Amino acid sequence: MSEFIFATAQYESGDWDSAPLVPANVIDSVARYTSIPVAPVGINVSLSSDDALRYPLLYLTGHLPVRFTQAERQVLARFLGRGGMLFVDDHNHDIDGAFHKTATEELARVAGPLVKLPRTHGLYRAFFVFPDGPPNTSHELNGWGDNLIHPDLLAAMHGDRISVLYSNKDYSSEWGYHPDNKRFFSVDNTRFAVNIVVYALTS
Amino acid sequence: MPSRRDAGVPVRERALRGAALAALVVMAARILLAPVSVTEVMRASTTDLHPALVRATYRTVPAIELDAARTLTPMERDWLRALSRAETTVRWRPSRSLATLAVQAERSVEPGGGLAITMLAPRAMPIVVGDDDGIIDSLRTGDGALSIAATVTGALHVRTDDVAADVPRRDSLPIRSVVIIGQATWETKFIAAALEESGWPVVVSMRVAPGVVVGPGATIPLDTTHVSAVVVLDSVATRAADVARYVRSGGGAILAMGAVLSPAIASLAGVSPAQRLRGELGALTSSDPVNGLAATTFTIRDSRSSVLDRRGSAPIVVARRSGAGRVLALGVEDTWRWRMAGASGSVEAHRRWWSRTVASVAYAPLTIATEDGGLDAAPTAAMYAALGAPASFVTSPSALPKIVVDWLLVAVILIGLMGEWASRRLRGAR
Repeated sequence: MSEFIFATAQYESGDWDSAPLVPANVIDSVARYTSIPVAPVGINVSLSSDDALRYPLLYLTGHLPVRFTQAERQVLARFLGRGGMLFVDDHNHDIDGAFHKTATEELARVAGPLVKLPRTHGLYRAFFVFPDGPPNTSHELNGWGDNLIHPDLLAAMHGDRISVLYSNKDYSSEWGYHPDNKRFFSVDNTRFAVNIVVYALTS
Repeated sequence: MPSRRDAGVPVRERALRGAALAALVVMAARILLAPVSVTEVMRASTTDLHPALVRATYRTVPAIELDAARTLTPMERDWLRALSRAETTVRWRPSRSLATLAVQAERSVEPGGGLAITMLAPRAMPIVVGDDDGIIDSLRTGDGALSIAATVTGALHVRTDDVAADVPRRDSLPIRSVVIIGQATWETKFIAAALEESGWPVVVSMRVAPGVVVGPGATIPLDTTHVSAVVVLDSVATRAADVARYVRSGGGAILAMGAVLSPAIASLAGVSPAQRLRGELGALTSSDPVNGLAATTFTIRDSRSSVLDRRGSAPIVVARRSGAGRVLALGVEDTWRWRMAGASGSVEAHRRWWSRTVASVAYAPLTIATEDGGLDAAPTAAMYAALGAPASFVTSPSALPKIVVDWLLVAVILIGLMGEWASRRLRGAR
């Protein structure tokens, strides 16, 4: 039985590796809270390569404009059609920013329109319960980025399943620290990452 | 001195008289020498069988000899069998080589699965498969056996040039849930997806953390009124006792490697793991994608087990009966890779493979054909069973029928005698 491997998607444009500490932190949380067999290190995989199809949950982030190549669009379309799930986080936390504008455009071309995910969706109860929807980040609360709190996540659906989960909340900054530092938090702020992983594995 | 004309007359008259006399002798010989039984044998062929059967029914005939150019219909077979039990000897022989055709149709235990049809016929025989609505497909047998799956309306009809087999309509099978028990992994998720997409009602029980299970599969009663099959994927088989009881009562179980390794449930599988093999590099996108998956070979501990698939010579999929149910030990691992990273069409292929794998063990209540009369799944075999093996005929085949020969002889006698009388009158003799 294969382990869950946290995979970060590389794409040609932009800065795909802007949150290098996130994978380790998410992996730590999955191992800490669940019995899901998880690989101790993540992997980076090119979105233009068929290798991306080996990792049914992909994490994509960045600050810069996102323009997929034709190969990236084709692989992503196959990935989503076969049952994969892409989690995209706007590292700018800025709905007027280059990442948000270009990424949502590109994703809509491949996966269809992104719509608000209801706060009652199963994602928010997949493991931990978030009755108010997606947890806010310190970046939102401190007024950084677009100085807005984004109460909802966006999603492209494939049937009744989320195929693309899109966040403007900047979880890439929120979760971008060494896992050992979780001990300084009264509430672990990576718990929502566990929900995303459990949802991807069970839905 | 008599003229040449007068001299030839007596010779001609003697010849005509002799011909008439010879014909009379032949007729007498035919009457006196021919055995009584032979003269009373009725010869028939499949082209005129029905009137012959009617005649034989209303007029006692000691024997019927049938030249069969085709297999008989069930009615014809039954009629001949009835005559044979009423003291009419029935002999038959094929007038041409009759194909041996047998058809088996089983309702596939899959949602909307139609029939799994197996046909046995001589090598490379053209076969037409149809149902009450018309022709479904035209095929040619390979090595003598052919299996297809088809959705059939009413009865199934299979034809070769001279043999027709018909299988009665079958009741549809009730499809119940498939319970998937395993850890929250890609394998569990994509097996559930494949089965759901195939139309199976799927109930999952995915273990996420100690005491945390996703899905209602942990509580559904495991019995044949609720569940068609159970797929157990991990070694922490929380419901091992339930699964064992369910299988004994007729249910089907698929035990993946994790379950085969579990002491609580391994005894059901009748195998023990032998060697773990890596998938063949690049095979996932080839025509044999299962070879691209990692697999564990088995050592078989139950001699009644059947090996369904091998890697090299080592078994990787093994089936056996356990109580009234069926168990399949699956050595192939991480089939989700086939779906996600396989060639074009791999999603459908993965879905079909899992649906058929589950169907091969799923609980299927006994069904009875709803209309059996007049249908015939193995007509050649049924003909042998009803009439016995082909036999030599007592009457020898003649170029002309007996009645024609008799009339020819009468004509020869009449012409001979009339000619001889006319010849005498023309020359003035009395």
